[in-house]
Amino acid sequence: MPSSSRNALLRINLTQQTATTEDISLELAAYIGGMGIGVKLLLDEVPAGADALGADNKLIFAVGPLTGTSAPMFPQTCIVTKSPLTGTILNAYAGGTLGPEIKQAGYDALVFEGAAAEPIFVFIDGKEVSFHPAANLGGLGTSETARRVRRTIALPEARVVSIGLAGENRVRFASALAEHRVFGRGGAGAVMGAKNLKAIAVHGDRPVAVHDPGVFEAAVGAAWALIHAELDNEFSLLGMFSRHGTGSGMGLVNERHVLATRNHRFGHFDQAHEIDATAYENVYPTRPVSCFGCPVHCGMLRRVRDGPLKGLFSRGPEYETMYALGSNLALSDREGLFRANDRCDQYGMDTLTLGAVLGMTMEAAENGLLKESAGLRFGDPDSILGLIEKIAHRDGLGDILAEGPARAAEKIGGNAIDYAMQVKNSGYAAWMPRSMKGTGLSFVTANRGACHKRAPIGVEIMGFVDGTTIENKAAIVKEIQDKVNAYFTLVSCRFAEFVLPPEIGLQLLEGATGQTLSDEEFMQLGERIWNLERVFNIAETFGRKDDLFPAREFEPIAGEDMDAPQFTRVEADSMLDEYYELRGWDADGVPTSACLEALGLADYGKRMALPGADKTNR
Amino acid sequence: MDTPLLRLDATKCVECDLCSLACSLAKMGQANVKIARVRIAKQWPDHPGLNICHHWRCDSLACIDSCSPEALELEDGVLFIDASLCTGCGECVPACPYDAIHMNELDWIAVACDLCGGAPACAPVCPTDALVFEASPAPA
Repeated sequence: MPSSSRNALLRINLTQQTATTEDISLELAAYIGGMGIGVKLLLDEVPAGADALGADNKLIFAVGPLTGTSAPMFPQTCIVTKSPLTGTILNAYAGGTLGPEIKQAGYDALVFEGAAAEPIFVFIDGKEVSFHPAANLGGLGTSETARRVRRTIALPEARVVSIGLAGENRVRFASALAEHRVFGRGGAGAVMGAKNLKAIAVHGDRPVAVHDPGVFEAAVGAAWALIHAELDNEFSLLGMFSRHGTGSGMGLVNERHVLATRNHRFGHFDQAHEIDATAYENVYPTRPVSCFGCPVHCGMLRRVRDGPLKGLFSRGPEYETMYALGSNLALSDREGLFRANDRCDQYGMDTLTLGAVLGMTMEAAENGLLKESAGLRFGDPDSILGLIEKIAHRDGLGDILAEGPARAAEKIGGNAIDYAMQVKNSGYAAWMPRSMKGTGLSFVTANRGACHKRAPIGVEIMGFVDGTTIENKAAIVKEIQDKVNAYFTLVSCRFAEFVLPPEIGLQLLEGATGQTLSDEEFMQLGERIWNLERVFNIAETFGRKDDLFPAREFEPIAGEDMDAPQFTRVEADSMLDEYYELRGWDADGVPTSACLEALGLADYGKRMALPGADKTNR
Repeated sequence: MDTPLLRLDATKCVECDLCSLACSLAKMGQANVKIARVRIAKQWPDHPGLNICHHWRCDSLACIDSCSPEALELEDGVLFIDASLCTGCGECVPACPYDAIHMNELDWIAVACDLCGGAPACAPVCPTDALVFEASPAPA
C-alpha cells in the first residue's frame, strides 16, 4: 500500500564521503517521524560523552509523514543533534520548502556523520549524492553561500541549507539557514561548521502519495475549515500572525507588563511601539511569505527603501528577535534592529541566545566587570552590531561571548553569572517567569535548555490560568511538553497546535500512512520521546542541579509597583518536586526504572549508569 | 481581448505553492509541485511570476511553430496540446518564453495548463486571492 513516508534514511559519512540508503526499521517507524526518529537515532548512535563538535556527534535532518503532502501547516524540518551550546540533546526546526524537498528526494531522514577534512558541500539529488569542495565559500554569508551552491550545481530550484561565519567559527549558538528560514536554537550551525559542512543542497521530484486518499482528503478538509475560521478572525493569534507576522503581539505583551526589558530587569518597554510589527510595516515595504502549503504566511519580507541600508531586504525581525535584540537590550532603533537581525541571519547565529549574551555583557559592563567595555551600553545599536561582528569572528571579547551566556559569564567572573538569563547555557526566550511561572518551569525543565516551544505561554499571557501562581503548573507543563513533542513527530509547525487538535493530526496520519493511534497513544509517544531526551541528558551528567532559574528571577521586577519578589526559591523547588513526581522521576530528576519500563524504554536505563560525560563541552 | 485566463497579482502572492499542489493533485493525482502545470516562479526577494501560457501577449507563439507533428494549437483562447499527436520531442518546452510547457514525467508528453476546462483547481485554494480565474475578462 502507498504511504507518504519513504521508509528510507540517507546516511552520509563525511569522513569517507560516502552515502548509503537504509530502510527505516519497524522499531524506528513506531516513533512516526521528525523529532521522534531523530531522537531515537541519536540515542542509539551517539555515545554518552561524545564531543558535540567532534566527529562522533551526528547531525540528523528528519521530516515527517505529512511533509510534502497537501496537509496545511506541516512544512517544517527537524534537526536533532547533540548541542554544542548546552551539551544536551537538541531539536531545532525550520520551515520554508526544505522539508518537502527532502521528502521528494526520497527520504524521511538524512544522517550526517563523521567530519570532512576540508570544507565541503553535499548535494543530494534524489538517489545521487555528490561531495563538492567549499573552500571558496569560506566566510560567505548564508544567502550568498546558497546562491553560489545553486550556481555550482546549476540547479536554481534546489533547496539549500547553509551556515555563515559563526558556524564556521563554531560559535556555540550558530544557526543553520534553510534559505529564509532558520534552524535557530542550540548551535546546529556550529555542528555543521565542526564537520566542515558549509552547505547541503537537496533536490528531488518524486511524488508524495498517501495511503488512503479518502480519509486523507477528509482530514485535510477539516483542517482547512479550522484554519480558515481562525484566519478570518483578525484578533486570533493566527489571524494576527497572518496579517502582521509574529511581531503582532508585542503591544499586548507590553501592555500586560511581561515584555522582558533591559536584560529582564523590567517588564515594560516604553519604546516598544518603535519596534513592533506595525512600526516595521509602516516604514518598510513588507510582503508576507509562506512556508510550503501553508495559508498562514506569517513570514514578513521587508525591503529598505532609503537611507544607509537602502536596497537591503531581509525577513523579519520575528517576535522573539524584537524581544531578544530589541526590548531586552532597550534598543528602540528600528533600523539598527533590522540590521542586527539581518547580520545574525547572514553570519548564522541564534538571535535569542545572542540577546541573552549581549544583555549579560552590557550589564556586566555597566557594573565594571569588563576590561574591554568601552562604549558598551543598552539601547546603542553600534554596541550591538559591533559585538555581533566580534562574536562571528571570535575576535577579542567576541571569542568569550561566542561560548554562550553562562560560559561567557563564568569567564568574565564576578557576579556576571547573575546577569545571564539562560538555562543550561541556552538564552531565554521572550517571556518572564516571574509573571508566568508555568512558562518558567518549561524553561528550566526543557531538554534543550530555556525553550519556549513547549511552554503554556498562550494560556498564561491571556490569563486563562493565573501566571503568578505555581498551582497546577507541573501538570500543565508536562501536558504541553508531551503534546508538542507528539506534534513534532508529524512534523508540524509549532503554531499548528493552536488550531489543529490531536485528532485531526491523527486522521491526517491515518490517511497518509495507515498508522492508527489513539489520542492517548499519541500523547504517550510524546512522553516517551521526552524521557528519551532526559535519559540522554542524565547520561551527560545533567540533573536537578542544572534545572535552575537565573538569580534575577528571585528579584522584584523593576519599575513595577511591588516591594517583594514575585517568585521565591521555595516556589521554584516546589514546582520542580511536583513536576519530577508527575513524570515518575526521582528527586534528582532522574527517570526511575519503573517510569522507563512503563514507556517501553527499560533498555535505556543502562545509558544513565554509564559515566563518561563530555566535561570539555560543559 | 476575450479569453479566459488565470491572473496572478504578484504583490499578493505568498509563495505557498498551494495552487501547484492543487494542480498536481487534480491533473496528475499526486502531490508533486514539480509536475504541476501552474507554477509560481520564485524570484526572492522580488515578487514571483506565474508560469502559464500568456498567448495573448506572446508575439511569436513559438511553441506552435516548434511542433513538427502540429500537436499544439490555440483553441478558444487556451493552448491545447493534442496528446495523440505529441511525440515527446520536447522542442516546445524551451520555445515558450513563459516557461509554461512541461514534459509530463509519467508518460513523457508535453503538457500545459488548460484551465481545467474552465473550472481550475488552483485558484480557489489561493489563501490570499492572488491567483484569480476570469472566465471572460474585461478587455485589458
